[in-house]
Amino acid sequence: MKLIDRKKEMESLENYFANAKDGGGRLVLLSGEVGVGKAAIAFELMKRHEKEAACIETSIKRTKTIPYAPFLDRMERWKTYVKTTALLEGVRAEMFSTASGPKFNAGTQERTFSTFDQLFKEVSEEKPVIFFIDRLHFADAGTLALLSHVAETIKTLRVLIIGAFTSDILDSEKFSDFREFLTDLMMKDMLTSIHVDNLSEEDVEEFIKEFLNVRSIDNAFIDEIYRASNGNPLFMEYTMDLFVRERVVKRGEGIVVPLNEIKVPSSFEDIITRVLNMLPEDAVTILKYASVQGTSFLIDVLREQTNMTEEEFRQNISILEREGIIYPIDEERYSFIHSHAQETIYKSCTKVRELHKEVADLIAQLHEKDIETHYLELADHYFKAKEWKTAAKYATLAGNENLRIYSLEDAIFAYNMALTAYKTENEDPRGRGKVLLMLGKIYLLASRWKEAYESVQEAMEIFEKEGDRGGLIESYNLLGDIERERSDLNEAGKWYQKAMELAKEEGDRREIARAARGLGYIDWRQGNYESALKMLAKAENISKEVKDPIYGIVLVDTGNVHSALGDLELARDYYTRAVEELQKSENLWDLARAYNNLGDSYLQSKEWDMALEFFEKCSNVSKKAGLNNYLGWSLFNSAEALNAKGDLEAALTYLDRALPILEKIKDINGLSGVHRDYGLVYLKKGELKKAERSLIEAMRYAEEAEGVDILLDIKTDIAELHIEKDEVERAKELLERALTEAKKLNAEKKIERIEKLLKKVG
Amino acid sequence: MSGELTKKIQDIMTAEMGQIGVFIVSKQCRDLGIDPENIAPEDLNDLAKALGKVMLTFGGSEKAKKIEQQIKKLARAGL
Repeated sequence: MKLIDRKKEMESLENYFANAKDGGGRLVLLSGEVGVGKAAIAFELMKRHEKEAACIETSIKRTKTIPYAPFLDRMERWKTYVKTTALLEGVRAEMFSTASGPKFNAGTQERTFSTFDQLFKEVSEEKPVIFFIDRLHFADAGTLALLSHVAETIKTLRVLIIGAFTSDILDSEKFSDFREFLTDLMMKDMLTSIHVDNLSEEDVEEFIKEFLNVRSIDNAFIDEIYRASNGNPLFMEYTMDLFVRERVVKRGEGIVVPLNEIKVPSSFEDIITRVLNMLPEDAVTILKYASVQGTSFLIDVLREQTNMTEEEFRQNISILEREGIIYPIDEERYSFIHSHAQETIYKSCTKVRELHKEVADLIAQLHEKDIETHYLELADHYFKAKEWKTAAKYATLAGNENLRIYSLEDAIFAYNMALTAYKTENEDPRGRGKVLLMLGKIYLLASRWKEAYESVQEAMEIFEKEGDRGGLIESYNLLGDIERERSDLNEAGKWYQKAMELAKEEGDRREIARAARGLGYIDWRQGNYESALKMLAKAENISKEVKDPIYGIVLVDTGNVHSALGDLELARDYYTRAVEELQKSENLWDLARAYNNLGDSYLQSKEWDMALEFFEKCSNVSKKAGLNNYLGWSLFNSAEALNAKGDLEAALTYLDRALPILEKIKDINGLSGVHRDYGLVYLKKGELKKAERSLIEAMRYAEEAEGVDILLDIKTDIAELHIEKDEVERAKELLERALTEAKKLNAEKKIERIEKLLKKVG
Repeated sequence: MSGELTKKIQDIMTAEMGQIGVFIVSKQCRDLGIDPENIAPEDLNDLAKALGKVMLTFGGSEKAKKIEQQIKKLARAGL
């Protein structure tokens, strides 16, 4: 598309590039409607500086893609600028090492991040870099976490990263990762954006004159185009192309029919319908079959469906490409340029049920080797074909695959599809029960506790009816996990006990280990450290013996008990071992917890930078895996470190960010922590009223969560507040009570802190 | 009165942006030196402009305009 009057935007980008050339690298975002010309601006900058800079551009595909794809896709281009590509190849090789497709765990994530740090450093030492990513809103969580990371590390490098995205569609749930990414940048004061607006009426006139290569044009025609397009350059280009096809305008001549014979299209859909009417019949047939597959379609499947010779087929595909209706995504897949086109054509199809069955069978037949990458497509087509049993099978497989790569929303979608198929088929209740358990697990990961509880309850009822004792034990333990996360420790304890009893009857050692772990966790939270250590040791031994991945989780819990007892070295030792185990088992949930707790141990030893480093790791893993609770925790814990370092404003911003996240998921432990940290920041700022209000709020949540450990800390904070307010007697009274409680818990660090404060008040 | 304004603006932003809206309000307030818990009527014009600008990125022109107008309306209502 042509670049029309974008002086202001170009000037801003030029300034950012000039700064980058001087070693002030930055991520700049271009926002605006579809077709407003964001990419054209970035391409213009690259064109202007192609000789002096390393210019690499990439565009994110709308279809589900592999994490970090925008960075990895242009490997060949990166290679032309780097001295050695060993690291780059290493990451790529690792990602594609498993037979079941790309593999992503935290180990890969860390290595990928440092590889790209090194890559940008190396390339920018030779030449300044302009790296442009188009359609950034389609990026997966992993890519966004990486981009957020490099935005920080390029600050001292000669690198300008430009990301273009469509801003007016961001309220859709599917762009929640992207909204989080923008929010994260804003929190870190790294959100630099240029909004690209639609064109003015004068610009529209200039565009049309240039397009038609004429000096003047009827004002009424310009008015009409401006009104219909609202100044959107892409719409104008499509409209003018349509008019050329309809022969109502001619390049070099202008308008060649009376003005009242020109019908200005009202929407993209209108344009597409008119273009379709001018296409050869075979091309329209191809589009009909393609539309059944969806917005993007497999070319080999399409080829099999149409009764055309190879040459006829290729010819028609070329026509459709030339007419701007479809475009190739890669070697095997094409896509409709506008989803409107696919929708309009699909609506006109008949016998769709048979067509979906045909598509599904062909995908299964032609893509047997990489079938796992087509599970969801297969499920969807079999579902639409009303082949319930096969749909349920593929939807479950798709759910498993998405869960494996922590694509939680997609996993939920797939499992729900499986559930509907099972319900309609009504033949395999155990299969339905298993899907419900999986859904319960994912809802738990996503902190959607009510839905988690309901799913597992339903599963439990099925297993009871079917006499499936294995399913029942699993349900009990899972219900315990859900209640534990909801901080209803008594209820959680009851479920774990039930699981323990039944698991012992059945001799199911794995589930015994899980129940023991749950009970040990509750003991820790209630301050029964001795009993917690015993229970956790039992879980540790069994899980190690039966090689159950819960082993890593137990190590984190044991670390927590030692941390509460004040033995930070031992706690860290457990956490570090846990990290290794959890990376191996790709358990991102507990890995985030291990990183967070490692950070917390450094908070306790007042090593603030180390603490921040681990909270950042926790945050990265949480973002990748969509773990809202740990994202919230890493944020307010970072705030505590920032507060201690004296950066009070940054601490408040981190808390502002954490609060709504934890409120949304009703994480009362987390909320207690956030309000406590607000209190501590306000205490330091001397805003005592606010500090008091926050600490009381923190105490309320801590009491609700029955968190003995944190409650004691908050009571000590409140005593400190009274000292600040010169209410010495009240402070003394509170501290003495706190000391008794701390001694009862045998919590060394807390005793030390309270005694120090008691000394202060005499 | 002032706590009430904070709540109203948070509601406007939450309706458009979900839970992120609350953070956006707090962040803009802190950047402008406004106490996010106690937004005062005299803060509204500056805040409306700042939120309008940031909403161009988060939601596009229409949403930005809508939010800016809603907050300015609060200012005109004399709250």
